[in-house]
Parts: sequence; structure tokens; C-alpha cells
Amino acid sequence: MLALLVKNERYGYEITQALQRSDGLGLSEGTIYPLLTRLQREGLISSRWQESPAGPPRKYYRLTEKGKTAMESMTVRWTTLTKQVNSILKEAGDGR
Amino acid sequence: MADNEFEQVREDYVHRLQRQLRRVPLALRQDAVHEVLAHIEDGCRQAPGDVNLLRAVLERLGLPEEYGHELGLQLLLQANRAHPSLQLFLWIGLFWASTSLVGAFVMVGASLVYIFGLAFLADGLIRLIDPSTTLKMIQVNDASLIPAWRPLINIVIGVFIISLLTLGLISLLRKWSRGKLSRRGLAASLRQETVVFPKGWERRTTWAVLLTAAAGLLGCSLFGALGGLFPIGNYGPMSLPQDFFKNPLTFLAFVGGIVFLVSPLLGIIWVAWREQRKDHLE
Repeated sequence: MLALLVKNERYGYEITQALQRSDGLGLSEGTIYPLLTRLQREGLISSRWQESPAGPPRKYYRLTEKGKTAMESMTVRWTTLTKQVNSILKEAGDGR
Repeated sequence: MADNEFEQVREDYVHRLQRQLRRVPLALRQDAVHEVLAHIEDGCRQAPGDVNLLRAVLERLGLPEEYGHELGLQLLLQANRAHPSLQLFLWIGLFWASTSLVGAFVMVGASLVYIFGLAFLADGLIRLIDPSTTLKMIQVNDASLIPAWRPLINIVIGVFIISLLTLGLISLLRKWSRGKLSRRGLAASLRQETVVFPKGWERRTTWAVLLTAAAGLLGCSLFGALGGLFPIGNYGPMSLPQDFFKNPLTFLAFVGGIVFLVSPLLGIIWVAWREQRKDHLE
């Protein structure tokens, strides 16, 4: 979720569509808004309302400084974890 | 007709969602509803007014009760952290007292201690203004429960009791409400640190409070009788608390009485200490 907001701010529906395109994540639309609220509560993202050219106003979310730091630290952890798991799987594959 | 049905389905969803979010502060509730309306609008952009598309969008969003429950709890937590108010704490206190025996113990016990602290404060203030008067509000057998110490000392004691109790109660209510919310389907979306009380703590605390109260009352009666303060079952006229300082036994009776009065808080502290110790040993 944080990674989706690294480059630019996005509104709720945009985020749900981006996540829907990633089939493996298994996130339903109903869980995305509560998750956004939680991230906001933790100060990792902030939001603002903006008038839309068509339809009702949209709520845009963006990363805060705290969110950027958290994102960087999570990226490092994820990279380390995948590297370690890949190495174990490779070892297991070589042994077969 | 189709437009009508479209409106009807959308209104029904929003109405059910609003009902689910009724405990959330108005500003946050309106925010959430506007966001859902924007989501519906975006989801139906390909074919505006198409009720089947609307139903598909709403289905992906989930039942308003489930979605609203999850969102409502997050918003309540947000409100709890961002805008702690007296009203919120009163609501949590009433909710706790009406749904659990421990909550009733704590709230009734806290009210009694508040009265005690307020009596000290009022007694000190009244005698500071007019030294010839004493507060006769809280009496046991015609004797004032508040000692006639210097007015300033009574004011300090009153402020101390009220402040300490308020801080303790606020902290307890915040922890309880967060623990309660986190156990209601939010385990996956809450950090572990917000889950404060372990499972079954309310039953253990009920017993701890009852045992502490019984021990306090028994100690007060026994030591009071042994110290010649009163025969068991007949407490007679006495001047509190001066009579309790006659000898060591009457002092122990005084301690027993205090333990009985604050048993709801002592019971909770006892259980919290045991849980902490258990965690530490594990």
C-alpha cells in the first residue's frame, strides 16, 4: 500500500484498482479503506480532499516523512527476506 | 425506473453503513461516507445508472455491516487517540460498567473514592473560608469521615486523590477500550502492542476484587473488635478516623477499611501484576 504512494498521491478507488491488478495479494476492496485509515492513524500517510472534474470530491492519500522512512525500512527487510528464502529454495533445488 | 433502483440500492448501502458508524464522531463518519460515495461514482463511471454494475461494485466493497464494522473500529481508535474527550471516557466507563462485573466494580469503586476525595477538598475549602464550619456531608453514625486536619492539608489530600484517580481511570479506560476493540475482529489490522489485557482477565479480576474486598472487610471487623473499637456486627458511634489510631490493632482495622474501599483498584492491580510476572517468567 505504501509502495503505491511512493511516486505520487492517489485516491481510494485508484489504489483499489492498482491492488486488484495484483492477483496474488488477495486484498478485497472492503479491507483497503480501513487499512488506509489505519495507516493514517499511525501517521504513515496523510490525506486531503480535492474537487473532482466529474462527480463527488475525492480523498487523496500521500506518504508522510514517517511513511517514507517506514517504506524504506520495510523494503530493506523484504529484500533481505526474499534473498534468504530464495537462497534456501535454491539449495533445496540443487539437492534434489 | 432503473435510475430509481440505482438510487435506492446506493441509498440503502449508505444508510446501512451510516448506521454501523453511528458511534464514530460526526466529522469522521461524514468523511467515510463521502469516500464511499466517491468510490461508487468511480466504480460506475463506465455505465452510469447501471444497477447491475452498482451491485458488483458494492459486492466487491463488502456488506455495509462488515465493511462498516471494520472501518468504524479503526475510526473509533483514531478518534480515541486524536480527540480524547470527557464524553468519550464517560461513554467507555458506562459501557464497561454495564457490560461486565469488573467494570461495575471499578466504576462504583472509583465513584466512592471520588466522593472521598471531593469531601476532603470541599472540607478544606469551606474551613479555609470560614474556620468555624466543618463538612457534615459524609458521616458514619454522626461522626464525620473526614478528619479535621488543617484546611490546606485536606485540600492537598483531596486534589491528590482526585488527580491520581482521574489519571489512573483514564489510562485504564483507554487500555480497556483499545483491548476490547482489538479483540473484535481487528487482530490482523492492529499492532500487538494495543492488545493489553489477556483472555479471561475479567473473570480473574472479578475474583481478585471480591477476595480483596472480603479480606479488607474481615480485617477491619476483626481488628476493630480485637482493638476494642467495636463489637463485631455492632459498629456503634465512633469518631472516624481518630478512633482508628488508638492502638496498633485499631490502625490495622483502619487499613482493612481502606483496603475494602479501594478493593476494585487493588484487585485490578493485583491481576495486572500477576499477568506481568507470568509474561516475564515465560
